[in-house]
Amino acid sequence: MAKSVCQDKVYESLFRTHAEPLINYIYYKSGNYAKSEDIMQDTFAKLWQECAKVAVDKAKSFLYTVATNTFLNHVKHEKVVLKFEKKGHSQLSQESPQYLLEEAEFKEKLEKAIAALPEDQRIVFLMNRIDKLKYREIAEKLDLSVKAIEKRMQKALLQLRKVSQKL
Amino acid sequence: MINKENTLAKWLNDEISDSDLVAQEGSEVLKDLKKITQEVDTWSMPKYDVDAGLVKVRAKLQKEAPTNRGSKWLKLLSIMAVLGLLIYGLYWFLNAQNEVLSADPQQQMNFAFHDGSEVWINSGSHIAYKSSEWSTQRDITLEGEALFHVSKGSPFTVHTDNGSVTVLGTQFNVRAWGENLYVECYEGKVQVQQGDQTTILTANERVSVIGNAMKAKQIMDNTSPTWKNGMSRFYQDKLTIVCDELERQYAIKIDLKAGDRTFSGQFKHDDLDLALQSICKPLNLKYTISNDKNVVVIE
Repeated sequence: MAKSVCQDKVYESLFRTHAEPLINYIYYKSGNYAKSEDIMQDTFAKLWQECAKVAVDKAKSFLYTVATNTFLNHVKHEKVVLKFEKKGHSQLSQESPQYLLEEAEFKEKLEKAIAALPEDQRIVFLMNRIDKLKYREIAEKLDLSVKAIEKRMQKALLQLRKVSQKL
Repeated sequence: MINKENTLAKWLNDEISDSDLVAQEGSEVLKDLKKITQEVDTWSMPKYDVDAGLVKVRAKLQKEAPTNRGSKWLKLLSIMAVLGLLIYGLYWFLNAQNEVLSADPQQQMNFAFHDGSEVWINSGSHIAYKSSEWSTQRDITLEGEALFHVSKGSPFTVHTDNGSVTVLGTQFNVRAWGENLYVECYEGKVQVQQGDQTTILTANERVSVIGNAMKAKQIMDNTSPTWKNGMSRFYQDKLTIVCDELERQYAIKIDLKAGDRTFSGQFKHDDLDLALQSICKPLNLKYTISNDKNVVVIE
């Protein structure tokens, strides 16, 4: 029997692979984590309802398209506020209070600058930096060319550099 | 040579080295980008509990699926019901409507009705009819000129502004005693077939089939079979055939002692004596009627 999204095992494996990146993707758009999880759940529910119509190799693109549409339908366009956890310090050797303060300040400024980026640039930047996805992988998920991803990244970097220069 | 396009993005994707970036964009850019990425790369998103999420989404599917599927089926059913009604209504509407057939100028049109009748419509003419009533009443409204071939069936009338034409069908008589067949056509047209021989009779034509041989058509003057007027008529029929008819008309028994010969002529049904004379006189035969008038001897 050919692999089908309607098979429970296939569906579960898709969920395990894509649930978290999908939440993150919506979060980068919305800045609302709870909402992002809801949208991910709705998107996977939709995938199950349409499982007969979606080929396994098209499931990834289906998920991102449906999530994007659901986001557009449900999330009001408010000013995006992004907050990220910090795993550690960029330079463990310099933990002076002065440095920590500066670093916290820098983080906040950078978060604001990223939130202020045009949505398409912000998504690409964060998928690359936070989810550690290659340009090619981002391109696949968003149904875009690698070139388009690269361009968006370039623009994002040029914009963010201005923030860095001010400090 | 390095492509200068999107160098910052390419550097970030490890496609070009630090020194290449510095060469292209200067050391400040490298410094700034490193500062940004070093900071951002320590950030993370919350770890999503996939197992809990899977339980949630499955619960959601179980809660939604049955009602969802149910309402989908109900929706489909109601759509089908509405569609069915629409089709039925449309069918009824179209059937109750007049169907119009038109021949464009410089064109003629041929149309076959479902009963096998056909119409040829001349240029610029048109007809209208109701297909729903066709099996019980074949009414056609004609404007212009058309040729009709009418199959057997219900009354067939062509209505025009100047009057109407009704097909009356045919009237014909068939006589098939012994091995002979006689057909007379008084109105319309009939086709007579014997083996592979076929002939078509129109009004006032008759044909005889003697044995296997179909004779030539003859013109006749009668408009109904003579037996309807109390007479039996024969055209060169064997005497035995004539005697058989006598027996049937008068309910008698005939004892034919004379040799076989042919007879042309007729006899009346209400006077046995006169009838016998009509037959015997031309053939020089004699007849005797028994006392009880039940047996006739012809010699």
